[in-house]
Amino acid sequence: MSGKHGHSHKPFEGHMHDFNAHIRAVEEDLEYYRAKRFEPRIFYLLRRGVLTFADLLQARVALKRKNQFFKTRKPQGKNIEARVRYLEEWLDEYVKGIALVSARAVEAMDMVTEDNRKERGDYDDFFKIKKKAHHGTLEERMVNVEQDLKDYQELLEVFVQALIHRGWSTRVELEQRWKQLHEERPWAGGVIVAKAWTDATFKQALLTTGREALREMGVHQGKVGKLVVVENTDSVHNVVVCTLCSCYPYDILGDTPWWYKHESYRTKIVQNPRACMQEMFGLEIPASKQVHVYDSTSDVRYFVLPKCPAGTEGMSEEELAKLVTVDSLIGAAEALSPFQLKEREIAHRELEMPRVRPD
Amino acid sequence: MSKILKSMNSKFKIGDPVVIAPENPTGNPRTPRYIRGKRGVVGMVHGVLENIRDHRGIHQPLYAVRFDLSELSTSQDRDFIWVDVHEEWLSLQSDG
Repeated sequence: MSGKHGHSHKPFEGHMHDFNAHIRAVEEDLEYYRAKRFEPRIFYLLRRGVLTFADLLQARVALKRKNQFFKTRKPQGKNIEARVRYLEEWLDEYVKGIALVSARAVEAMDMVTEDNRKERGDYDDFFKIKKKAHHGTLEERMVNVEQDLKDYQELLEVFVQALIHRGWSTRVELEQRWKQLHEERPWAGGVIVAKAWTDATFKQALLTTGREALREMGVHQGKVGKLVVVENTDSVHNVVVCTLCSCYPYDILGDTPWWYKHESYRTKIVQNPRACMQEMFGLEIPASKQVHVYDSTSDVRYFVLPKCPAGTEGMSEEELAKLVTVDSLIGAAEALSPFQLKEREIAHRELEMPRVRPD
Repeated sequence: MSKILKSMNSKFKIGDPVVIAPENPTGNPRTPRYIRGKRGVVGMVHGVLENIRDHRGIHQPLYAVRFDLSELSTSQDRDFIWVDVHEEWLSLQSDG
């Protein structure tokens, strides 16, 4: 399974050579993961005395190259494209690193992230986390992102070292988990939808019971809020947004696409959904269909069950799963037709960019 | 783990015409500004949800309220916006 079905940094309309868009995606994602996923975790542990600033400082001083958990990276790449790809890879590793320190292995400290959204400032301007602004030429922005990644990765490294030093986790435990994070697994989104397309009973269960239905098929069930799946039909097209922050069933579907968190999407989709889908994704909804936008503002996470494309008769569940993209589960696209899938696979081979981020 | 604690004690039912409070009633800020004071219809009753990963404490029952797009936007498309809203934000439309 290739990374394109999971997380991707593709720009709105998929111009592979729009480097500005690629860099913008890296900037957005990096700030999101730093400000919303990683730093609140540090604050949380500091405030509760699980780790102290002194622990972090000591871990930094004691850090030797040979003991580093993550490999040292320096900006590299012969040309812009290579640099951009390298940055995307680096970001990938940073995000996996955050997943590593948020994993069960580290949760032995019996913590619950209550009030987490408030601490992150998701709802309240008073608590809003300041994000970096990005300005300048492409070159300046790339240099900035390279420096940011270096700095953020260093903090992550020090954090991991401090966790080990204080005995909250062991190196062996973390290494096992790190390996698991790099294993390729079929993307849950594709597996779920393909089953719903081929098994009417399962589809019914999925639409009526959400998460409950996932337990039976052995897909990681997740635990972030209630899950509601809304079905696209001949007369209805559904699309999902979170206008307040960026609620998304990431526990099942993996990382949130960068544009989903972007303010322009979150604003436009509820003002003029058809125009938004047309302008941002090139998706035209025929007048014969009603559009339903779901604004996920609280404890319910939504995803869309796309329509099964034509020309898929006789395909196995495994093949069908490849037609399901992240965008199609949000309503920003239809599922791929078998022909589109073929085109994409060829394009990806040519660009040599199969990037894998596990769910 | 998120679970539904009780879905029976919700004050509103599917199909009820409701209006969203114009201002924040109880310090629960999770109602976007663009629906405040607007009219919609209860489309789903989610019930009372526990979600300890994201917040401590139990909130009022949650509903998905369906709005005509034209109620919220200048667009005249006959489309719909669904928004999750807690019970304390809702009251029945008095004039239907």
